[in-house]
Amino acid sequence: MHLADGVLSAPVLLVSATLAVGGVAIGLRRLNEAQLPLAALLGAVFFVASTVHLPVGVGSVHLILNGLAGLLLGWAVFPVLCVALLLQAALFSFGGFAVLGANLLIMALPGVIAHYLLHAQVGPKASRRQALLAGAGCGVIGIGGAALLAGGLLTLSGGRMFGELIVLFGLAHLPVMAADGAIGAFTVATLVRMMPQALAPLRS
Amino acid sequence: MNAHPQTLPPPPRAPRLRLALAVIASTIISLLADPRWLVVGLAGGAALMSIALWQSSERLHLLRRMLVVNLFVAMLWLTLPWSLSLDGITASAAGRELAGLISLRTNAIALWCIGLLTGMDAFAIGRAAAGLGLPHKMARLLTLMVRYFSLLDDSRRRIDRAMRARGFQARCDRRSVQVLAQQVALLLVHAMLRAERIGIAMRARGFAPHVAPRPQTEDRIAGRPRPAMGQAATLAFAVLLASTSIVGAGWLLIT
Repeated sequence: MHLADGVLSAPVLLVSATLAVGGVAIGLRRLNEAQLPLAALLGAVFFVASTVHLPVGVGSVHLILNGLAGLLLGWAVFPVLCVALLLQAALFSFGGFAVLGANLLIMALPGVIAHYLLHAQVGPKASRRQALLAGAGCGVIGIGGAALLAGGLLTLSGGRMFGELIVLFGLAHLPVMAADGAIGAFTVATLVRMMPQALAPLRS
Repeated sequence: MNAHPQTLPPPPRAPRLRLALAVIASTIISLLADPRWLVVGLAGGAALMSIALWQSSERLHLLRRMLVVNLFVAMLWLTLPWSLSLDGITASAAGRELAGLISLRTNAIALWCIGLLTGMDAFAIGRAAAGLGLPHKMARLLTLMVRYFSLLDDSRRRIDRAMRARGFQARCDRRSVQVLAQQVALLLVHAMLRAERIGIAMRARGFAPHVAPRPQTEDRIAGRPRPAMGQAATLAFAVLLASTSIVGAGWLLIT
């Protein structure tokens, strides 16, 4: 989910970049030196996971998993996704540099919300049902929140004129939300069974 | 992003300058609202892209990236020039004008960025960004993520190959979702175990988590050849931020 460069207005770009810098600063403050390799490895996993495709109808959707990344990383999802978005902008032209702050806010803020709402549900004694619900919740909060934020920023930039674009953008992300929710649910359930400490990796 | 290239490509020239120029060009063009200036920006980007296409051996890849950018532009043209109301679908001249303006801006920025950054891989981008005055932790995170990406991509390809060898083909059903989720979970477990091994290896080499690294170590990690260059880059970055804010504030006052 990337907004392209040149779409948002200057004030929206400035405000979202400032908020994103704040999020990155909080995330970096909460990461100590010894946790950097782990955060980088988890960030790399989510970067790699975004290349996984699930066939839906005649096409296919790729995973985003920003909600699951938030669940695991907390505020550290801001610096980790910042790196991922920077590389995507530079290497693949997904998003862009001027819109990096806005795209980071769109992707990372729902992740942080998913962390605060759901991380209590996935302790070592979580049932399979709880794990499945928390994982599905990550998909709904992650993608739903991102679509809402993108819609909000577009509305602030262009008002009523972006209305149809926002609806189209939201509809296009419904299959992504379903895929992220389904994969997230089974991923969390597998982790609870296989390696519960992986669900709170940065707890020191 | 190939982890084990057969022959090392030549290192890109002036990577930090090119990345900084790409960021500056993106910022300035994002703030432009006059179509005449945008056409000038587009012409500049087209010139850079022509040079990149001339020199590059991956012309199709560069053109495909322009196509990716224009998929979003196509979404704009599908929605902005039309307005849905109780009277049905009506054409909107203002919407058409905005779609045209955004198309110019988006394409101009894409041409500048692709033209400037062609030939730079993830490692070069990571080193260049780390050298542009990022805070120490961010620079370390960036270089480590670039490093681990290729490792984990290899792991994913290995798991993928093993799954396909056993007859797995992704479909839109519960079984495929479970298998792909297991793949993601396995990657996360793989990353956790690797992080544990890295932690042990770091402590074995005398790493103390709460001791700030010495400046020369920081410079080496961030890929900065000389401390003075790092300071100059930090200053340039600060000047860029300040000038962007001033241009933005001026723009706000004018409009």
